[in-house]
Amino acid sequence: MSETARPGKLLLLVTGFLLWSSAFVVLYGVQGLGCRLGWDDVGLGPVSLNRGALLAVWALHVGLIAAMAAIQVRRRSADRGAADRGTAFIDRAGLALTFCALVATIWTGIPILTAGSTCS
Amino acid sequence: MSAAGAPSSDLAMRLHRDLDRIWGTPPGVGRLSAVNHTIVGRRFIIAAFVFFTIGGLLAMLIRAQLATPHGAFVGPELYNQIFTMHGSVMMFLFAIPMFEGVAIYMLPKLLGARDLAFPRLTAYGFWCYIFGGSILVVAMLLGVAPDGGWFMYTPLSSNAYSPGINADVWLLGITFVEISAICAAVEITVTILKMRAPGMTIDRMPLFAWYILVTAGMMLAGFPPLILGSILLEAERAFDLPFFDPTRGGDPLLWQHLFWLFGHPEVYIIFLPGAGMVSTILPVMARREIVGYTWIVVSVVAVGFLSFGLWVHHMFTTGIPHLALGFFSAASTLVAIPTGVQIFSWLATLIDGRPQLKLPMLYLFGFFVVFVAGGLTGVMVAVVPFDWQVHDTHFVVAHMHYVLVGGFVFPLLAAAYYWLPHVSGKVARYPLGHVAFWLIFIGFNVTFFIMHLTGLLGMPRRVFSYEPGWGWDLPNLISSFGGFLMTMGFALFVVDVLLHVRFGRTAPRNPWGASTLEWATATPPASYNFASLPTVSGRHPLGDAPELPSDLAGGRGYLGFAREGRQETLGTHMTAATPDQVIVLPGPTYLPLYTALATGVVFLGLLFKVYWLAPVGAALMLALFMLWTRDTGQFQDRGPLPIGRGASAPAHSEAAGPPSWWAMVFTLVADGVLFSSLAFGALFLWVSAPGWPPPQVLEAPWWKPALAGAGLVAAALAGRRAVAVNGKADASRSAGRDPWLLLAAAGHAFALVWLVLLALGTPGPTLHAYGAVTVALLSYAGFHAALGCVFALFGLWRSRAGYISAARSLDLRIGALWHGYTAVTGAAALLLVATLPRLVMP
Ligand code: HEM
Ligand SMILES: [Cu+2]
Repeated sequence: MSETARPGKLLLLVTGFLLWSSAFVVLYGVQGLGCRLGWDDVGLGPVSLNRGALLAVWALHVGLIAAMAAIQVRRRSADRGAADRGTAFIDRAGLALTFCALVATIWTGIPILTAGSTCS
Repeated sequence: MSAAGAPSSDLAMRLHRDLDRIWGTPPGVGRLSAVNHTIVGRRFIIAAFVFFTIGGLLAMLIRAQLATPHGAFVGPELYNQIFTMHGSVMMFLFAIPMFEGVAIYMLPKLLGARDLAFPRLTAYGFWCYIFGGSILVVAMLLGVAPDGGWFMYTPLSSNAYSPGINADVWLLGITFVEISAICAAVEITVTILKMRAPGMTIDRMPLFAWYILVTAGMMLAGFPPLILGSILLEAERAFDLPFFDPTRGGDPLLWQHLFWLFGHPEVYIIFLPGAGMVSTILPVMARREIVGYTWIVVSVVAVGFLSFGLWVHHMFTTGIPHLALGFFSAASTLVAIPTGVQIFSWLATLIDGRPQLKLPMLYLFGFFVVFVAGGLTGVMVAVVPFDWQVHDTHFVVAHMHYVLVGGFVFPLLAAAYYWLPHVSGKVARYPLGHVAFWLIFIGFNVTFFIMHLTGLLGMPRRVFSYEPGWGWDLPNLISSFGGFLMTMGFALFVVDVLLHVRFGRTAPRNPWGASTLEWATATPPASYNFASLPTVSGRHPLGDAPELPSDLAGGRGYLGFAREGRQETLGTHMTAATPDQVIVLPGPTYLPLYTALATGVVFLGLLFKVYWLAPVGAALMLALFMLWTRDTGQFQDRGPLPIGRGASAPAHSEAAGPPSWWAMVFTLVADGVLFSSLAFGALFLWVSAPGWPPPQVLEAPWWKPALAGAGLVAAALAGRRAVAVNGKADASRSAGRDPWLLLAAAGHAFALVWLVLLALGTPGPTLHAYGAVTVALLSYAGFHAALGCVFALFGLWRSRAGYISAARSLDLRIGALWHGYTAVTGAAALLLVATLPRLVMP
């Protein structure tokens, strides 16, 4: 009998989008907080401190989700054959969802690059 | 054949009688004690339909008033109540409870279980729904219904502009009803994950269950912000805590954030169950397996998340910075993609199948046309400049009804005709359903298509009258005419259903040739659904094994016997669906009714400002909830129980992951969202509200909050320790866990004292929102500490009374979850309280 997955494996379905949610909330929060603290007027190299902070948050989340996708790709090929049906499905759907979350996170952050000022 | 068949059918009859005696509900007044999901689900559906009728009548009043200029029917005060009640009734008392009812009735049957995970909770939710809804309806009859619009914007709904009881009716009545939504969400999640038939691995789950699972998850995350908002607004109205008052450091935008954080996902919470019905019925009508199962699952989960990133699109006109709007616009464009994926897989299924235009299919056709049209106008209002033009006009009313009626009412009508033979055991004799369809379909489009034009011509929503000669006369008259056409259609639907139930012919088994498990029960279903539980080996259990119904009825599946008069069903592994426990369910009891009545005492006390009543009701509730635990738990380890087919499994009270443990996990998820919303609110006010910094802040030395936090952490550690010690114990009685439980209770009590002291020391909670949010954060932690104390003492009592052993550790483990959660959120709240003064002062 093949080893069955632990229930925690279900989290693979939602981890990608939980990270997207985190990106969304933190970006929105940092934007407002930065404006309140006047970061828009502080320079950080070519951009304002506020935009710099937003870029950092965005990059961090994109990186995390990409890493997560990479792990899932690797895990999936390791699981192949050995896994029970439920596990195989979660591997497949989970990977697809992580990729969707990756695209969504990249897309959601694009306004950071295009917006004129971060506070008006 | 017949000679061999006779004794076995005798056995089947005996099994049926035994099971029905165990699972049945007493007649007469005893019906009030029903907890069975078939009965309570049916009641939910009927009640929701009654509220739909009330909402529909209100809509007819609106249309009668607007049919001509200078409508003389009602004045502005009454009109405000009518449209507010129409919107609120339709959203909170019809749409949500209706899909809950369908889910409650259907899920166990679709999944191959005998009931939901928490039958008494089902019943409790039902009573809360009925009582809360009645508060609203009675208020309307007395002429004091809410009148601030279904989204109750402040400051209109604040004391200054709504001094009467009207707004309190909304805030308290709806919150009362929302208790049922949270109960249903927890119960549905646990049932879908833990109670599927053996072999129904997660990838074989019917799509309807996937849709409902995601919807329930969204409710756990979406309703807490609304509940929090209602609590805060009610606290502002009742105790003058200025959360939303801009003259005292509050901000009306906070209400809008909290409301739409719920409100936009709410639209999907209504649509997804509708889509789930489509995905269930359409493949049967098309006689083809659904195309792209995995892709549908992926899109539904994606929609579930993405729909939370849109809430600010209801606030495009509030002056939020462009960059922030950009985030929300981005998410708004994304959410269309997974919806598109679903529509394409439905179309592909139709094109590749051999569709039959039976009655449910006709309603699905209506769904396609109306919903897609609503989607198109949705894209239009998502374009910010266009939205600026049509904001708050009848264009938006038209769009909203295309989406809501298309996405929910049409699928629901399809589902009604699809599942009626299951509920009643009859098939219709007369083709009235077709006539009803055309009346509803044509009436709907006549009403709402022209309303786009009315809106483009500039007619605002929520106005009780208009001048003649502005070009609004004719379109309004046409809309009203269409509305009455549609109403006739719905009336005919009701007549048809009544005729069906009364005069229909007996339905053959599985009349549509479906392949899902609900059609393996008798129709109408028995109280226990299945005489024995199925084993599933594919996505089409009934299609793969047409003899399944008689096998199950003959007791040849799992649990095909009546053991010790207990209501037994199987719990299975979350993904692999291997049996891992025997879940013993409680039978009929009046406790849910009594507890809901006690809950009503709390709400009525608050509503009528008899504030001493509220704590009395709360104490009563707590006492009654304690009584719920009387017949759960046992005094001995029972070890593995045979479950039939040569297999065995432990009772749920001795299993690793029993339903109630998971229920606590999901409840805490919802609770965590509520806490995060509160923390967000505190930070939001500091960042965005006018009138900061506050005149005074809390000046407490750091060690005071630290002591409170230490008490909570100690309680959590002691709770964990109690579980660990208990796990190592032999069968002896106290096993060294009791001192740890006592310590946990003491830790909570200690923390509670300090939390109260801090709250009392907070300067001017009514003078500035700073003080109000500080008190709110401390109260949150204090409430959890107080309940933590109760949990710990309850564990102690269960331990002393002999309910607990190394194997039967459930009470302790549930307590430990609570203690851990309280420590984490309590520490976060205290940290915020301690740092806010430093943050806000310049
Ligand atoms: C049965 C046919 C229906 C008709 C003829 C109808 C008609 C109307 C009209 C004319 C308004 C605008 C009132 C105004 O702005 O002055 C309205 C508002 C609204 N309707 Fe309906 N409606 C119907 C069904 C529904 C359904 C099924 C739902 C939800 C599931 C719904 C939800 C709402 C909401 C949320 C509002 C906004 C209320 C507000 O402005 O506060 N309606 N309806
Ligand atoms: Cu929305």
